[in-house]
Amino acid sequence: MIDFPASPTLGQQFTAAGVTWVWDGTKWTASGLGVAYLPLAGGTLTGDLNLAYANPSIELSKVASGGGNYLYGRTGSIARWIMALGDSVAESGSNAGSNFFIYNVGDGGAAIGIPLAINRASGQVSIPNLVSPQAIGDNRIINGDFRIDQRNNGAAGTATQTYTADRWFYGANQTAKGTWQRNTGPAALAATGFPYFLQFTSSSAYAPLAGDFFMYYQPIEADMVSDFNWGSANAQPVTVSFWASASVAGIYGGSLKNSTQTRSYPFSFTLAANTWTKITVTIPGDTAGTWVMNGAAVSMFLSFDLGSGANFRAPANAWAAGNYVSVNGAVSVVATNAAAFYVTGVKLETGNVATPFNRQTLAKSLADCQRYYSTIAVVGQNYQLAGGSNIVSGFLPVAMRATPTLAILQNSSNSTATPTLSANSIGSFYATGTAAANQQLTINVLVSASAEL
Amino acid sequence: MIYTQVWDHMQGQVSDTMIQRDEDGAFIPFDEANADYVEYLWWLDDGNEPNPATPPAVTLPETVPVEDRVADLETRVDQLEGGQ
Repeated sequence: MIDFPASPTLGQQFTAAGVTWVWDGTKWTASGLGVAYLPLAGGTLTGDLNLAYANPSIELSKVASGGGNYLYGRTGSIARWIMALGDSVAESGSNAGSNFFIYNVGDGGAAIGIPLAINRASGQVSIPNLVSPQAIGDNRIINGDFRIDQRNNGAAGTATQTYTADRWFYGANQTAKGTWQRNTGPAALAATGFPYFLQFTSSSAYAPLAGDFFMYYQPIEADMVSDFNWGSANAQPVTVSFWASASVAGIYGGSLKNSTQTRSYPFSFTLAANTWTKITVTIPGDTAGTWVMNGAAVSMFLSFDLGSGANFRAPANAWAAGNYVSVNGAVSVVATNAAAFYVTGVKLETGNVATPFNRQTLAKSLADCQRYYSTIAVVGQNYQLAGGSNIVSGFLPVAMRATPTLAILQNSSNSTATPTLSANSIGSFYATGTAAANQQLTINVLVSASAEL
Repeated sequence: MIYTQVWDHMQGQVSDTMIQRDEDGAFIPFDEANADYVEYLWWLDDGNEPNPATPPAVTLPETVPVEDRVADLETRVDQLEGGQ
């Protein structure tokens, strides 16, 4: 027998013997007869729970401070994760207690730790095992993205033994074998993320002699790489990374070698034809040899081979005692008429991992380059008697590596001879001109200052 | 490579602080941290010697003899007196 409540209200529910009845105003009607229902005391659902209305919520309401509101994620019956939306720490006032945390739970069901906790009062978040994003290593190469080309501003050249884009030297013992250029193009940007690159285009099919060399290289100042600790038991590994492309598919070569060119690490990399490829080379620290590891002198050279002879090639990926810029069997760009080689995004850093290229402001990149080369115009005018001299001072934009070599790139002076340039220091110089007659003596020169390694 | 000594206009003598490279006219300071100077030292070690400096040629204005100036003044005075 069912003992229904007396004087029910509309919609009132009454459950008895697993059946819920609803008062419709005139009679009790069984609801969901034949379907199992969770008792209010709790139970286990065997289907999804979907709350579908305007502002659904699931509420965990501990009855008093000191209790805990928990959500469990289990495998079978064993917990794997536990989230506390108010833990059992007593609420002692001033918003204390009932903190948030997440437990990670071991296979046996025991908590391993609390990888995430948030203090309710302070909001302080604790993530004890947070894995930080990988730091970007400092690039020891200057102008690795070839944005700076103070000497040529993108113009091509064929001179040998000369700087091309800033800090990048074209070394060759044979003339008229190719053209160098800091070039640009949308295809490179799309493929590499770098709009500029250093290009070499062969102008003939020249078979290099054993003693020939053709290469791009950057000399690196010792104070830039002191932490490499090379030449000692604490020598650190480094990683060279760059983008390269070539018109001729094959194995190409480069090297890292010391200033006296008695220790070299030739490395190889493979390029498909006309395909920009990201190259990463990890080089173990050299514990042998003599390395200049501090000061303003050159410490090492990073080279890209363009067709060096057998005397400058050695087995790949091993330290060798000697002057090597490439590996045995590498493609010689100069050996194929119109063959081209391209490189950009060059980075040299400590460690075994190639981290992303350091994107720096143009101002900083230019200043880095101006430590080694800059141009500046100086102008001055004064009345001078015949034979008298005027001096005009010039201040270099960046203190240079050493007292610079000064050269006149353009001269609009009216002195009796081309003005003389004298470097005062690593930061300034003066130009001197002599009056041919009593005259307004003008000194107007564009000067280059070079303190390259 | 050929180098030439530099005339110091201020000192009126050959510069003792730099040398000039003929190839590009660059002035190279006597600083051993300067790669161009080191190259110059190697060049000297090979037994070479720089060309001597050439003092700047200065064209002085022509001077007028005193007798001619006096004569010029007398002429002007005569002209002035004649104008009275």
